[in-house]
Amino acid sequence: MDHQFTEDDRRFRQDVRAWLADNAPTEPRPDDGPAIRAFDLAWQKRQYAGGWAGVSWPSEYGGRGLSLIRQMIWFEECGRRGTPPLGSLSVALNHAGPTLIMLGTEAQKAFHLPRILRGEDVWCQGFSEPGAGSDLAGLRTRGVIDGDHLLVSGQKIWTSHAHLARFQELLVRTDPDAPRHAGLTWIICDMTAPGVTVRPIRTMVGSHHYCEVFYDNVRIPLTHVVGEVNGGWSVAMATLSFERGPGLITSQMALARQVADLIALAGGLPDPMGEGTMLQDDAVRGRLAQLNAEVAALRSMTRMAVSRGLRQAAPGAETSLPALYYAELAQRVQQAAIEVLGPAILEREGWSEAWTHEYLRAFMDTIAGGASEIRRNIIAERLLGLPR
Amino acid sequence: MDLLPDAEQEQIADSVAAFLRAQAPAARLLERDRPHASAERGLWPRYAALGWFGMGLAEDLGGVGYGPAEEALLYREIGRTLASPNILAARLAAEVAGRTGQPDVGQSLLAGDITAAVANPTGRCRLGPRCSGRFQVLDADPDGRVVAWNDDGVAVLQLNQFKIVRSIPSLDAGVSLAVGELEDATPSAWISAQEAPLPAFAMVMVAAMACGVAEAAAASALDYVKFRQQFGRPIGSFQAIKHHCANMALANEAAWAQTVMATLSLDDDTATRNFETAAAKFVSTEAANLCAALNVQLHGGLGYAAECDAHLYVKRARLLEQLGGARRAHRDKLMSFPMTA
Ligand SMILES: Cc1cc2nc3c(=O)[nH]c(=O)nc-3n(C[C@H](O)[C@H](O)[C@H](O)COP(=O)(O)OP(=O)(O)OC[C@H]3O[C@@H](n4cnc5c(N)ncnc54)[C@H](O)[C@@H]3O)c2cc1C
Repeated sequence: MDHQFTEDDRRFRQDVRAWLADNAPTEPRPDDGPAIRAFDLAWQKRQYAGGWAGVSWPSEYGGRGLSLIRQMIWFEECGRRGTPPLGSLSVALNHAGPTLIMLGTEAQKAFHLPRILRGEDVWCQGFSEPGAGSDLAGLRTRGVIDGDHLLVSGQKIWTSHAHLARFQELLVRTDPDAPRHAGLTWIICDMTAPGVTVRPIRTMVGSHHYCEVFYDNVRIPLTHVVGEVNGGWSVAMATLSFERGPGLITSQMALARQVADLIALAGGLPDPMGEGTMLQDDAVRGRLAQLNAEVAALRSMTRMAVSRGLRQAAPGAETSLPALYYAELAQRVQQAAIEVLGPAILEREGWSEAWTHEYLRAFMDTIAGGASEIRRNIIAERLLGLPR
Repeated sequence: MDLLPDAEQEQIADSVAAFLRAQAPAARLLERDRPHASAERGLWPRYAALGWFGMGLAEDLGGVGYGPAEEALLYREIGRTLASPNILAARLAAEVAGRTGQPDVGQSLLAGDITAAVANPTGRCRLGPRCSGRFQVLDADPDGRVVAWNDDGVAVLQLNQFKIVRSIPSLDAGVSLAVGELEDATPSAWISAQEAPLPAFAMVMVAAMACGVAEAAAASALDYVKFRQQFGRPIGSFQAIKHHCANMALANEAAWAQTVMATLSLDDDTATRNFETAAAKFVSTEAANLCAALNVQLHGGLGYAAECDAHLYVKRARLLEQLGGARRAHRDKLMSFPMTA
């Protein structure tokens, strides 16, 4: 057991830190619309030009080919610096890329991985449908083989950033007669193909984050299938396990900073009910101390996950643990923020708006990427071996 | 950076676990209506022979020469079978004696010839070259040493230095309780936290014991829900039960990961060490309380019965929570999260 980093890793961290100090964007990230894409891609391009894109991705596809630990250090330093979130690039960087690296064909890897790293494409994930969310294997969007193409018809929903994306991880039913999990195919869909219609949906935050996507006889070459035709379930499971992987670190670091900000804020806000500051209130102080202990534990869980990752090829069911812990902790942090802010939470402008925004945003954490209830089922059944 | 034990560390943990399972299984405590300090003392020479008291002590102090990582694995196993927290007292006393020019006392403690007992402060206390306050002494032994610690340091005393020692029925039947007061007593040895970060060390090892309690309670619950049938199926197939089990696994992952981080950060700067250890104590005792309570709940009527071992974990979890101060006592250390340098 060892929590120290090697001399080389420490030097790497210093290099990352120095580079980010000079190169991290200082202008605020736009909140809505195509400006998001322009901003996210520009930041990715800058990382690529600096030689920092795809730290742990294979070097033959434009990555740095370094260890998972270095990838973690990169994300930690981004988190410390407060660089913009992966945002519209999170699908490309966190799971489409890793899925292709593990299961893509040579041609798919050679085409897509460098484009992702160079900041050319936004990706989205077309798994959920109106009738199939938690029960993903119940999806009905059809893919019919027609020569060397797949003809896709149906509908996806809640597709994050579909309105900004060029490519999509699309999961469709190619064999309606097979058992539910056996008839699915994972294919790369070009969002500019004829027959694709995207309709953005406003969220409770007030901006457009996700979309409905309609497919009307969209022709996709079979060479875009990742894995086997009808073998899409295992590819999708790999994708979801990456989604719960080390990309979480930036969110986790953002949470650590939020708690630090909240403690500073509480230290300066007069307690409307008493003499001192909010931080001197016994209940508030206890709550913030607890959040910091939990933020620390989350950081330790992530490092435990990376330690496991160094010994296994693909992430296992344990990756649900830090993901679930993060999601629920993020919401506890927002609830504490409301206690500290008081009525200021109602005013959507000025210094308090960021907190109001975060409060609303955090509702998604326990739904997107698998609802908490489903994650608990996964932990109980796959990790603990309880009967289905 | 690798938070998992290496092969040798795993071997240490396995051999400790095998010994405790055979010689001191948690269920041994069911045979007692009231605690018998002497029964736990019977194991003392065995622990000494296995080198547990000196596992993490440097060889020039008569120890085995492993470090806090190996000891955290040891104390996790100690927690798992509810073995005596006084093992930690002996370990602390041996180091304090060795470092304060009393190598003979240190040797006798390591050999198990002198026992040691935890003295846990019940309120404000003063520890230093002079000690005052009210303490709960665990499994007090008139001939042994008594070890008290707080954020200022670790003091080693004798039982006869305490005024009005009175034995009191104990919540945790695995440990007897005596309360006594010190009034300006001079400890036989004292080490301040500046000289050696022993209070932080003690806090992490209590956290490690709490992890063991939490994991044992969760494992007991998990076994039972796979076995117990109602409505024609194992109760573990019901989702409400699955989610309780998932919550235990979640709390235990957080607790052990943080305890490992805290263990490894004992050599870091003071603020980092204080933060990490306080966080470990916090999440591990939370996990122990949660798992112990759910283990009772998931055993149903049986869980409430004295004959079932579920209550033992509830009580030990509360004991460990109080050792060295519960959450309120350490929250000021948690106000600033240290980022990796
Ligand atoms: C902000 C956001 C972004 C998203 N982005 C994407 C995306 O990019 N791509 C994509 O494919 N999807 C995306 N999703 C969709 C997300 O994956 C689904 O919303 C999620 O899997 C839940 O599915 P559902 O919405 O159909 O809810 P349902 O499955 O209907 O669930 C409703 C409630 O019932 C509970 N429930 C369902 N089944 C069970 C069960 N067996 N046991 C216990 N409780 C159960 C759920 O936990 C939930 O609380 C996004 C969602 C959000 C909120």
